[in-house]
Amino acid sequence: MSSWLIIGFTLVIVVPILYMIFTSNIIRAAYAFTLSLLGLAAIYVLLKAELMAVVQIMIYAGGVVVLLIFGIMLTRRQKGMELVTLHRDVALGAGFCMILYALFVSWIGESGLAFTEELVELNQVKTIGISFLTNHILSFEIIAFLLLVALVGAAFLAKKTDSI
Amino acid sequence: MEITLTYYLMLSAFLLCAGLLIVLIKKNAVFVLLGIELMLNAANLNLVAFSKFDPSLDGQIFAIFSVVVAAAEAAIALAILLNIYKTYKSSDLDDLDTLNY
Amino acid sequence: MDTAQTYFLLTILLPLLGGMFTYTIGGKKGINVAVAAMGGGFVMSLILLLSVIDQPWVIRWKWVPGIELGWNIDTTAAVLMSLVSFISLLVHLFSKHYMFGDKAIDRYYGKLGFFTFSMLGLLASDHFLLLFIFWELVGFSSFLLIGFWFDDIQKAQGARKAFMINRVADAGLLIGVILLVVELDVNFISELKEMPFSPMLQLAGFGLMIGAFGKSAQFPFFGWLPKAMAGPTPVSALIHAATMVAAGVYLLFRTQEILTPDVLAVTAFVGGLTALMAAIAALTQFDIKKVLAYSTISQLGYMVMGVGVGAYESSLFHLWTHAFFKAGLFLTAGAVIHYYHHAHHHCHRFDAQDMRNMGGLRKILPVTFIAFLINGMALSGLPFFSGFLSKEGILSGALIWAVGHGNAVGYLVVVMAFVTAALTPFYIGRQILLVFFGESRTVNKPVEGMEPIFSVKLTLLILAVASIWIFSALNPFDGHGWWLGNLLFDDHVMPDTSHQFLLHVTMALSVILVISGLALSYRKYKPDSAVVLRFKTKQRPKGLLGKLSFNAWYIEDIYEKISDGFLNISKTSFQIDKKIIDRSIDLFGVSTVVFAKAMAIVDREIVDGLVNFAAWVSRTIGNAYTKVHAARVQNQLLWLVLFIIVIVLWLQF
Repeated sequence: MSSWLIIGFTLVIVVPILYMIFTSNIIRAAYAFTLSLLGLAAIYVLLKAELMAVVQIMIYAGGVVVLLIFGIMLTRRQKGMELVTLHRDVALGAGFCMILYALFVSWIGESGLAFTEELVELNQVKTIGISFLTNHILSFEIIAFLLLVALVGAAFLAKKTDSI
Repeated sequence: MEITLTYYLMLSAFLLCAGLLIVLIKKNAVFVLLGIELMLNAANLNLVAFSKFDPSLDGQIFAIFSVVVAAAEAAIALAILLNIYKTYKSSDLDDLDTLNY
Repeated sequence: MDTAQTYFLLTILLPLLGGMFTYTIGGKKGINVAVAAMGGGFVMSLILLLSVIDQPWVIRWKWVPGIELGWNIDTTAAVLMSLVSFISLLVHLFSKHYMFGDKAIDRYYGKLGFFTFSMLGLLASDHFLLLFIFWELVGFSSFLLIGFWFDDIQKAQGARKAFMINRVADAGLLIGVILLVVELDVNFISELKEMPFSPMLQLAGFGLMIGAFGKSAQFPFFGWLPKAMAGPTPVSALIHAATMVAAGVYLLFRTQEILTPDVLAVTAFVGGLTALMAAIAALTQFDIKKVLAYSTISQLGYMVMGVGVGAYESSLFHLWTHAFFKAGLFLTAGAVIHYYHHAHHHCHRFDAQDMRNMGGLRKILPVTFIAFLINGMALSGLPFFSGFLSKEGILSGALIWAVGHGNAVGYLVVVMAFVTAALTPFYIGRQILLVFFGESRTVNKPVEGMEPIFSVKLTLLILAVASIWIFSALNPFDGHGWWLGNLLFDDHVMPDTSHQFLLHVTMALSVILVISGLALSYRKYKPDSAVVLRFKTKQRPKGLLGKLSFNAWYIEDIYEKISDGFLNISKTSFQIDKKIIDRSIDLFGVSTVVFAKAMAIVDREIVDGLVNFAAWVSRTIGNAYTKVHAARVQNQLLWLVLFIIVIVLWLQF
């Protein structure tokens, strides 16, 4: 049962990504990207990582994708034109990526990282929260500061100036 | 049919290569950003998949960090894109060749 | 940088910087800066003198590999440098009055500063090449100053002629310097010592002598000095009385060790001859400045003769005293000319330098008169004035030399010297009587402000006072008692007592000659005498001697003839050039062109083809490489991926 669910959600991830690769319409690609993100969130749930799934939906599907769509709209050349993009070096890129994927697959197959013994973890959110503020407090603070700086910087960069 | 860690790693590798492909073959800068996000998601999937077999849940914690960094990166990248668009009147990466001459 | 070097650099650079500053800011604003800088330079030269008394200051530096240049400041150089600075300072001061109102007074001060710098550098240079450089700089800056009023075509021509005559003589110096440096390996003036006689040394000595004759206006080059009177009168005082013309004497003085006896004999003879010729020429001139110019030549003749007969220190002494009284005479003449310019500025045809228009000035310019009188007495060689002392030394030196050699030429030199000693008081007395005594031959109306205290009275009186004997030697009858002499010459010895008789003869003779010369001039040119009354309308002399004198032995006409001759030779050779050489060159040219055409075909087809091929290869490679290297982010990413794959495969297998 669980296996079929996982395979089904995998398809939800993979098919939109393939559509993204082949399409040249950016806005549709963005929607397909959202769909695959939601699929990923479902996979996270099936991996018993509920907090990660929620974060994925809230930040990625809710935040980053909205940002990207705004970016697409703000960099549109003309009103009413289809938002299409051109492809470049398709053969080379596809070739390299396929080689890379083949390499990965062969590695993964050879590595034998086939764990099966799953840990049943209760109260994941509590555990994660505690380790944020104990073991990983420095990383937490740094990432908070990074976020602040990034947002201020983004606001500054996007500010309407004549001289950049 | 048993779903093992290998399955998730394969999926993650597929996401990474797909993201890379998008980054390589699309001319539009926003599209390239989409590809980059996809590659970051591949890393997240890896982390979460590994953390399923780790009681300390460090994988998930780092995945959350990575999401935050990705969000910040997306914000900055879009701001830069808007500026580039203002300057060059184009969001085509091949047009950004001022340093070539 | 040690202290002496600092003093030295300040001494020679301050005048230049002051002048350049004045010239840069333009107008009358910067004059005081130039004068102040010159004053600073004078003070520095005094300090420099004090600091080199014990130990001469020598510096050498490498100019190009194998050639060292150097400065050498011993007491002689330092004394002369302070002399030049002092006279230059007075001239700077006097020019404030004399040149007032001139449009280009800033340029004038710039040139003055440049000249002072060059002259000081000339005195300080140790290497012969450096000496030559500054020698030429002095010539050039004097050309600039003589031609200061270059919009007057005659004055510009005068400057050019003076410069050209100097250049002819400079060729002699150049030959001498090259012979010394290249053939004889003598580089530094301070290291000169007696050398065994060789023809090369003889030749080099003659070269140096000719160069010195040019700068010091000796026969046959003295024609340039009257031409140089075209410059402003303070310039004449600075250049043509005190400093630049002394450079030749200084050169001879410095190189005395290597001058061969033949050179010295010629030097003595030419010096005496020049003294006599110039004194005769001074007798009949109408132009107030020309009288002084010929008298300068005559006095320079004395100095050159002094070097020639071996009375070096007396020559230097005479250079010293002459600098003061002749600068004083020129400056007073400048004051007179300035007065006449202002009194008759409405009349354009009026010649402010013509003594036929002058007379009776002693009531109008009293200070000028006193200064002129004292300086004139010093020039004439009257006892109790400085000129007497130094001239005495030279005359006695000449007499001792002639007696020592005992040949006819030696006695001829002595006779010329003594005749000159009698002529000098005559012409200077004539000038004083004609300019300052009697009644004016034109209208002498008082003009306000002709003798401002600071720039004129002070300047003239300083120079006049310096011409009194006490400032040169304590004993008014001791021609070797120069108090600076003890400082300058280590082996300062009195002439040995066997010549005591000759010294007394010289003294008695010269006193008698001076007094009789003065008396004669008073007898002829006393106020109300027939000559003076007719002087206003006096025309050029008619007699042979008078003509010779007035035209200065036709030396300038000889220059003209010579240059005409050269011009004719040039024209002839030009014709030859055009008819024969040009044709053959044309023929050669045509054949060259034909050959070149043939070569061009070869060039175009073969060489160019190769070159183009090379260019094509590199262009193709470059284009291909550009594709790799282009600033396309994604291209670079593509290559990155490729290399990741390669590295991964490399690590795996």
